[in-house]
Amino acid sequence: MKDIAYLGIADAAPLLRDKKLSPVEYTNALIARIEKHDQSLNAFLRFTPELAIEAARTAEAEIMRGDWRGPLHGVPYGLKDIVDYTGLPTTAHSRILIDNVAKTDAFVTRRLRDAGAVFMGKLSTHEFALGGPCFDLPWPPARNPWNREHFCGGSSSGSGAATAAGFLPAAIGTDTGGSVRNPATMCGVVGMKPTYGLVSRSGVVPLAFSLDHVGPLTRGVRDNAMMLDIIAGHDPHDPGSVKSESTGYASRIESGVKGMRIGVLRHFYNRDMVADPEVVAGIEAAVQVLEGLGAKVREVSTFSLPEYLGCNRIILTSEAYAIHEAWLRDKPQDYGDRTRQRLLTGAFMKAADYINANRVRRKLSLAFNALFSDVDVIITSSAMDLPCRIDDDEQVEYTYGRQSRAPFNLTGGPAMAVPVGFSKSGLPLGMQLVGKPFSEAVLYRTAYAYEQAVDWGNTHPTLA
Amino acid sequence: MTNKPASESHRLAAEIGLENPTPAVLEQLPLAAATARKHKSALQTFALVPADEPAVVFSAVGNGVK
Repeated sequence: MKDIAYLGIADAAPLLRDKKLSPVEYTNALIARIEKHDQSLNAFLRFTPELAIEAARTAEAEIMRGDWRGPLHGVPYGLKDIVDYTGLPTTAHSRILIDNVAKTDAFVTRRLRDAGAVFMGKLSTHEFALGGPCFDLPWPPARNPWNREHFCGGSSSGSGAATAAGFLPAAIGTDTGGSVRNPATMCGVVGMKPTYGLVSRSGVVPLAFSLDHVGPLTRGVRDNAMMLDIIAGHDPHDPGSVKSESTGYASRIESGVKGMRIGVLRHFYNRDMVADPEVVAGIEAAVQVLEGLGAKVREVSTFSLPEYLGCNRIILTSEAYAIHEAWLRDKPQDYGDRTRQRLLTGAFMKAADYINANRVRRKLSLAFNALFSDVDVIITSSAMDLPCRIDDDEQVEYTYGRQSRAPFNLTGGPAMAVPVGFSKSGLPLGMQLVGKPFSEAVLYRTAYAYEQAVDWGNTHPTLA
Repeated sequence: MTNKPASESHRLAAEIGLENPTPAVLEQLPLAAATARKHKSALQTFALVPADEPAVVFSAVGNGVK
């Protein structure tokens, strides 16, 4: 058996089902690892071992009497602390919501609870999923398990760090401008931003209503598909939720890429923004692997990256300011400096700016989604840079906007961060796979074929 | 000389309807306004024609339409 800390869901599920691995033993092993190492990583904002052991005991009793609920039964997971879990505070990593105790579960929490998954705690985020790594908040920022002096990405920082560090096989994150895919890339794990509306946002603290997505982070592609199988579904409490027939992502993962039409969107990372050469080399090598597996590769182009990013920023800051205006007026001192600075930008957007950004959004979305008449999947960059030092404010600010994830919060289709190896300095590199709305199965199939052809998944960080 | 930034910050506070801004907020307003101007100038609206409508994100079902 693999090191228990690095068992994936797909590894653990049959062992748990066949009573070869006890949920209590599994949970206790991860609790011990978190207790030993999280003081240096800060992935958890609120660690709840008592709840975890109780849930693991329940799962064990159910499995022992033959009531196996499915592949998540007895599997530990964590929630970014903007997602509600009944009876616990949802703080959004902010003093503003420090006493905000959830009265009910978020939709995704309920789905995971019903699946018998074992909740381990709340994970660090950037304040309100926006601010960036801040040292003036009630809890410290999460750090990168590959090098704790470096930024682990965000805003789902703890979700990325905990998954990479072998604290959890899976975590829930959210993504408004790339916040699942950024920590996935920086921490060397897999992160899926599903199609807008596929996973309910109810019970999740909003950042920007029309851009917010909820998605899973895992170490492997199959595990990610297994998580989406559980959390996708219609929810009448989310006005953006859709009724989709698209499920069974994990069961359709092995079809390969022979004959698949893959577009490479290079101008995002070699003209519109120039990415680090190691990032580019990682992406190009991955494209070659997929071509070698039988995919038909061609280059595609669309509007420039700054046009997408500019549009996303106006919509995001406008919607976020609408949510935060009263708090910014009444208790501005309760925000971290970086978050307050970002939020105040929205105060200077006018109604016409917001409407025009949404008019541009429609044009950009129609143009981008039209590319899928000629290709099945598009590959492009995720982060342009390697993870910078977490204490280097200038580099954090510089690299924050150097990304190509936010375009797909505008266009609404699925976008997935997939590891493509490591830099010479030992930090993770990643690419992004993008699809037309509701084509998650195609992305998983592509990412899985690539993952099986390379060996990145068996390399793990050494924790001090 | 030292009054200029302060008065600019107070003007910006008035512009966005903040009646009693804290010193920390006042200090951040000029950069927030400048960043907003930068974001707006980056939005490519020149190709829009009057008939170009905004994106519709939320579903009809979510708006109460059965």
